[in-house]
Amino acid sequence: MKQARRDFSLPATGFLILATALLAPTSVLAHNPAGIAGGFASGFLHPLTGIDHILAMVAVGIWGAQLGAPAIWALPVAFPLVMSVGGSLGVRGVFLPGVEIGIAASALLLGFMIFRAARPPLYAAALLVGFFAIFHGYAHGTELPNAANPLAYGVGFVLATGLLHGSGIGIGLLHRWPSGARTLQIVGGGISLTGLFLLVHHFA
Amino acid sequence: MKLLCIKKIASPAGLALLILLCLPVAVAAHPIKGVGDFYSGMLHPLTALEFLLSWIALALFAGQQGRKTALLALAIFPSALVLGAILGTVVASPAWLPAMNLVLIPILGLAVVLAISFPTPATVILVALVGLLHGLANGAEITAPVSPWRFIPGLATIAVLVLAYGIGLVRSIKKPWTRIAVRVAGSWITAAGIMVCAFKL
Repeated sequence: MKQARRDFSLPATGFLILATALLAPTSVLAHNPAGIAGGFASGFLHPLTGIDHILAMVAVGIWGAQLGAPAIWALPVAFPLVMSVGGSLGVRGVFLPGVEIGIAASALLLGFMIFRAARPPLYAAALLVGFFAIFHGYAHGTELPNAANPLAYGVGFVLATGLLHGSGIGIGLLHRWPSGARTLQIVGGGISLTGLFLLVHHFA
Repeated sequence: MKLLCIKKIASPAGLALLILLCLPVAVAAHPIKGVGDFYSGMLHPLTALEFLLSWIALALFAGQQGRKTALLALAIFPSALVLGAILGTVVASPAWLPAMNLVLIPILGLAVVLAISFPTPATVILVALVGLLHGLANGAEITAPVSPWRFIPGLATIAVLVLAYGIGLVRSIKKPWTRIAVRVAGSWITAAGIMVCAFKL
C-alpha cells in the first residue's frame, strides 16, 4: 500500500510541473513580443512549432523511460549540454550539412528504437541520442542571434525541449504495465513512420 | 496523515513554483518607473536574465554544498554584492564586465550539474566573486536621481531572498529524482549560457 502511494507521486509531480509550464507561456504571450518576453516566447515556441522536433524529443523521453535507470536520469541532464554544443555551432553559423534530414532521421530512428524496445549499452544509446541532439540544437541555435533577447531565447528553447523530454518520460511510465509497454511500442512505430514520411518529404 | 500528504506535495510544488517564478520575471519590463528606489534595487537583478540565471544556479549550488557552506554563502553573497555595488557607484565598471558576467552563467550552471561537494574555500571564493562582479554591474546602473542608500539595500534584500529560496528548496528535497531535477535545472541554465556566450564572445 505504502509502495503504491510512493509510486503515484512521480506522475503526479510530473503533471503538476507540466500544468505549471502550460499556464506560464500564456502570460508571456499576452504581452508585446519584444525584449525579454519576446525573446523567451520565440525561443519557447521554436521547438514546439515543428512536428519533427516534437516527435523526436518526446521519443527521446519515451526511450529513456523504456531503458530505465541510469539512462532515464542521465538523459535530461546530459541532453541540454550536448544540444548547446550544436546550438553554438548554429549561433556561429558553422556549416552543418543535412540538418533537416538529420532531424527527420532522428524521429525515424528513435521511434524505431522504441518500437523494438531496443536496449543497447548505455554508451551506444548516449552516442545515438547525442548525435541527434547536435542537429536539434543547431536548428534552434541559428535563430538565436535574431531573437529580441538572445539569452531569453536560449532559456525558452532549452526549457521547451526539456519539457518535451519530460512529456516523453511521463508517457514512458506506461512501461511498468505489460499492456502499457505494448502501447509504447505502437506509439514508437507511429513516431518512426512519421519520421519516414518527413524524410521522404525532404527528398520528394 | 494529511500532514504527510502536504509534505509530499511540498517539494514538487516548490519546484513548480520555481519554474513559474522563472517565467513571469521574463515578462517584467526592464525600465522600472513609478516604484521607489528600494524596489528598483530589488527588481533590477530580476529583470536581467544574466543576473537571475546566475543567482538561481548559485542558490541551487549553495544548497547542494551542505548546511554550513550554504549558510556561509547566504551571508557572503549579499555582502560581496553590496561591496561591489558601492564600488560600482564610485569607479567606472571595466569593459570586460558584461562578458565576464555572461561566462559566469555556464560556470555556475555546470557546478550545479556536477552536484559534487566543493571545498569550502573554493565555494566562498566563487560566491564572493559572483557577488562582487554582479554588484559592480548593478552599482553602475545607479545614476543621479536614484538614491544608492535605498537601491543597494533593495539589492541585498532580493539577493538574500533568492538565495534563501534556492537553498531551502534544495535542502528540503529528499527523493533521488528531485535531486536529479535540480541538476536538470543546472543543465538548462548551462545550455542557455553556453549558447549566449557563443553568440556574444
